[in-house]
Amino acid sequence: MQKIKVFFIFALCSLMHCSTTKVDSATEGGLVNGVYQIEAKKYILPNGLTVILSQNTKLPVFSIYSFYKVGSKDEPKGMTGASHFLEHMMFKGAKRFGPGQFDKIIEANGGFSNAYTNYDQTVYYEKMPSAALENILDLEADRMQNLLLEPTGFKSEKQVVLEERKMRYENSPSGQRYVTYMNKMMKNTPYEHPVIGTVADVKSVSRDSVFKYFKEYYAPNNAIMVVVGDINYEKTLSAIKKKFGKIPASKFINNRKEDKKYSIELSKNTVEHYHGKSENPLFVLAFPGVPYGERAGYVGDLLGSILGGSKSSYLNQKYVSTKSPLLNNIVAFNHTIKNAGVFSIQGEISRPIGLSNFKNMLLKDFKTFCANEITERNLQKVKNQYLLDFYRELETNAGVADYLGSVELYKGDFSQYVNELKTYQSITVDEVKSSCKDFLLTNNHYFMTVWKKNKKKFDI
Amino acid sequence: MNKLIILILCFVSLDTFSKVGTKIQNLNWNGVDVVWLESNKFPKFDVTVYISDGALSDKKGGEGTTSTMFSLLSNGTNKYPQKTLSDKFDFYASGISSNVTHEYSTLGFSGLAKDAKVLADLFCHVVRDANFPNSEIDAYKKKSLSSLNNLVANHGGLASRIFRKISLEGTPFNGFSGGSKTSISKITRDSLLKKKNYFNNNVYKKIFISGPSSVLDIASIFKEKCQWSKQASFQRKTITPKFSFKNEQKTEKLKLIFAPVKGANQAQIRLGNYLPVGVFASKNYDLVQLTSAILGGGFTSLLMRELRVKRGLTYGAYASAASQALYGRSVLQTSTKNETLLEALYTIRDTLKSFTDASLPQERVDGVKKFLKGKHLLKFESNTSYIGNLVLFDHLGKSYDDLYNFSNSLDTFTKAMVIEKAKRVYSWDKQVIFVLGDPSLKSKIEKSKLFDIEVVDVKKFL
Repeated sequence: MQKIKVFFIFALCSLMHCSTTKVDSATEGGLVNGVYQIEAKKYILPNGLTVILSQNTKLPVFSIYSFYKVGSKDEPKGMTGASHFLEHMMFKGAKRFGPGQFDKIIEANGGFSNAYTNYDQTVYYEKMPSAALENILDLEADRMQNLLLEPTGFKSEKQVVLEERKMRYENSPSGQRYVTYMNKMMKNTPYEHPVIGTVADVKSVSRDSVFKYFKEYYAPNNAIMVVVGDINYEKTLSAIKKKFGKIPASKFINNRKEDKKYSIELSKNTVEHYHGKSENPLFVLAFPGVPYGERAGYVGDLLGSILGGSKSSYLNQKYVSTKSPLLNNIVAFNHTIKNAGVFSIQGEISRPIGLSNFKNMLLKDFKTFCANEITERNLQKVKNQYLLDFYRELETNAGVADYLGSVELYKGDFSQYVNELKTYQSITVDEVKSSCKDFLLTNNHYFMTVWKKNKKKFDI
Repeated sequence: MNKLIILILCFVSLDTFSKVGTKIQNLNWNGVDVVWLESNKFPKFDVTVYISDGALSDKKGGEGTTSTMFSLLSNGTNKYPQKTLSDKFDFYASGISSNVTHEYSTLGFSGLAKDAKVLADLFCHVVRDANFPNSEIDAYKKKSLSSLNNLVANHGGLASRIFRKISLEGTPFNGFSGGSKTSISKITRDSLLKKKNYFNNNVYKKIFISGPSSVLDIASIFKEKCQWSKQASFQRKTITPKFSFKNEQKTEKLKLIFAPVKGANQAQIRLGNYLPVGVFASKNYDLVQLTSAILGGGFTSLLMRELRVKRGLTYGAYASAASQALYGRSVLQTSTKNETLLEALYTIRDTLKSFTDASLPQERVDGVKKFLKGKHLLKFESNTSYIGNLVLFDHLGKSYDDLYNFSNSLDTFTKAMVIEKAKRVYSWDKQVIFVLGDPSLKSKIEKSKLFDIEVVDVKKFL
């Protein structure tokens, strides 16, 4: 069946004079050897644009996700927050569809649009009725090629971003905690500044510098377009080719050096206590992790879930779901980003205890945990949870598009998701035990709290 | 869009409908109504139980009892302690989820299809046998009280909580469904056991299931272990409470309720009011959705355009109005920096005033209709979202056909009808106006001479 499909696609391309250069994958939906197969097709246009299409005719709708391989890690000095700021400005007008037109057209076509930015990527997405496909491709192509960065909108949007910054970080104790510990863990790497940028940089960044940044990074050879839903493969590919095929590739991207991987080194036992609005102390205990895609990272994911990923997990049972809870909540997880990673334990303390004593208590616990709690049952438990989460994510077109695009961006090929699932399934108890020691039984960690009684000012 | 219409026209029998790509079948287990959405794409299932009573069943001073009871169902039974139950549910990647509104509640669980029978057995076991150990109740109370204390740091959440209380004052719907610090402290094991028995034995339930046909094997488990029957028939929505509502603004100078929070660097703004269900009657339910979306339902809404796009005053501004079977309410919410509070309030005032006159462009009405039609389709994408909508429509006593015919319904509304509805729901002089922010804002508001200020203490709302 697979061979027939691949043959069919080649035949189709020759009939269309299609400039698709590669067919990497054509798979059949359903379970194969216990692994769910997502039917999707990948093409790379001559200008470097990667296109992934997946058909789902359940409803007359589709989701389109445009991934740009640029995030806050790529921002030069003085321009922190530029990727996120561009996320806002991409909705504020291009050459063909001017200011105010983008959202108007999206909504008048019965759709919804938004975007998100993180350390490694910026993703724009729309959820639309099928009939709107051509219109949406026109909008996406226009802003990829001809973004205006109109000066009045540029100025007023800075105020919007500063308000968003207050809402998400300055006024939110958990937001403060996040940007602070990531800053500390990622010191001297491109990941040290917050994705939203510093207040000073957001205020001072110039239109010219943002425009240059846009021209360098927002180009077809730095983008992945994923369309999932009620689409026709042939017509969709043809429309994408027509609208994006002539947009030139970025020379900057072609000449860019391969990203460097970072291993985090901290001063031993670093502890900080920041002032925040939280009535109870929020804490994080963070350890250096590994970059996305390494087997140690997948093992770390399962380790985090066994340690503190659900109600029955070790830390939850010990500190939260206990007769005399010390914490209101606790979670442990492994956060992998493209070139680095952090393994963290975070929570909220509910009754008086010396913060340093608490940290030492946790560190002591890890020894017991690593020795006794990583069992076949606990490992199978978290594998079951990962499998169900995977199915849940794939229930919507948007979920499939976001998932395939992310795997393509981080792994270089969306079909690697099968290997990811297999990797999780193949991880053994011994591996997790060994990972437990590597991640947690070390002095290379950072402990910080946010609390109204702390004195140190939030300064990021 | 054509595909949807064709699907809607193609349903085949009284019991089996094939709409929006999913086959629906009505079943009956021991007199309990069951709706099954056949779904074979993934080897998983979802169960949601609609229970026709909610926080309104809590006695005065006992607010939060229903919510606590459902939250603690899996925290101990006569057979298993909390730790064992958590481990069992987690092993199958499941757990009991609950949601309590004033008028109804839902319970749910999900998992891999192969585990459906084991999980159904476990679910029925806790629903029947939960014994609410005192140690679990104490721990739950501590966590709840601590979480409420910490709400002071979450200005957006705190503002919304206070606003609900003050905007629905005088109605039976202004209590906190999750309880207050005072009421949670008083919850006892006995009250939770009584509440569990009441919901098991007295209150009407309807079960919604999605998944492959193999999941229907749980029928016998539900019949034997959950032991729900048609004798449980009470429906809260059939009891219309009596009350007199006072929150209409009557004077020329409007009242603004202000909650000072020291150090807040953003002002939280809320406007809205209680709405009787007549405002939502029949097709008006859809008309209110259209009206609200024009005002504050998307990036091109009037509020977003005036507050964010034109003036950069806020990150977000939203307006919505919704009803249950016995009451409705509207909420308009945004936030802005302290320096621009008055400008934001004036902009909201002017936006609401212009919304209720004839200057609303026809193009805007048509555009938002299309926006809502497209967005509506997405309600059927995931089984949980689809079921959530069916639950709501059942509770409202609306036919599922109204859900499927939403697009056609929108087409019947004229601009004049929208403006009339806007006058009823969003007139500036009918709003309860609330601001939470730094104490220094009080003098700023006073200087505007636009409002009479009433100051409230946030601690009274925890």
